[in-house]
Amino acid sequence: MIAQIRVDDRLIHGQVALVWTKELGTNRIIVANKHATESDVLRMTLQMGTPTGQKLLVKDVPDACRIANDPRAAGMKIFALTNCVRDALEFVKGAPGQIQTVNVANVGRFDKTDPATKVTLCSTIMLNPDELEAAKELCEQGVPVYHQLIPSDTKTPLKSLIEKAGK
Amino acid sequence: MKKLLIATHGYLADGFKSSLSILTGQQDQVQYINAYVDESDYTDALEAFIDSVGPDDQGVIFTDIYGGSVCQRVLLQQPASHGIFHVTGANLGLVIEVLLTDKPITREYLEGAIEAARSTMRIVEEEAPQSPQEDSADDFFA
Repeated sequence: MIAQIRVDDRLIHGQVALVWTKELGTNRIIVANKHATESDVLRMTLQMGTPTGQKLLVKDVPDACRIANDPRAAGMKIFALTNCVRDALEFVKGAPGQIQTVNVANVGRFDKTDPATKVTLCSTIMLNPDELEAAKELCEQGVPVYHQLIPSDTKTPLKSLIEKAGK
Repeated sequence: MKKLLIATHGYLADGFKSSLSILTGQQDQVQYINAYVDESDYTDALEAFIDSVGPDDQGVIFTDIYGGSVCQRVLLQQPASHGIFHVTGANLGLVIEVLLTDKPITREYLEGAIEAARSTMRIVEEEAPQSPQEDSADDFFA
């Protein structure tokens, strides 16, 4: 079971490794990111960010879905990360019933698309047109989708952030 | 309840507070002493913390450097006689671990946490591991 897919453009970092794995009680991390599967240096940073005692798997999204759908995953609590909303959407669609929540935390500020085309949903979420479309679709998948940077923050439904931005 | 104090030379304690705020949002569950940043005597704050830790509380004081005057001053207050642990040479990983853990703060627990934190002080290698474990589903599920 994937306890949470977190959308975070920094993938595994301090908040994720130290705080969220404890909060969620997960001991396995899947990074679903094609680029990371192709970059030794990026994989090394992910391995480094993985706390002692946690297992890491770096896969592209289709392979990550296969892992989530694997019968062996059923009894496990797994934490998953993507660095964009589109990947999270594909993950949710590719692993029906296996994803408990999606947390859109930090995304879009560094994706190198034209800032003028982006919609700001909050200080840590800026979506380009494709990401905005993906976000809308993600909210319709029957899985709770919210924004919560750290556990002490309240959970804000992504849908309400999109509506508040007038989109 | 768990009661933590970070006491350091200068504003390092407030630096911990800033980092804990960004990483955990639970910075208000820790007390801080920035020693020697003005003429005031921080012994009072230290005593107040020690007195605030009751028999049912779990107290830990973190100081910055072994043998430093802040470490010495804490030692002189004999926190152990109040059931309070004193850990020096603290780093951010250790403080976060102790702050967030659900486990009881025992000597054994702290020794393990310190060892884990100590092992993260290291030269960062830029060579990929010889046999990357992170792409095998069998290892992942094992």
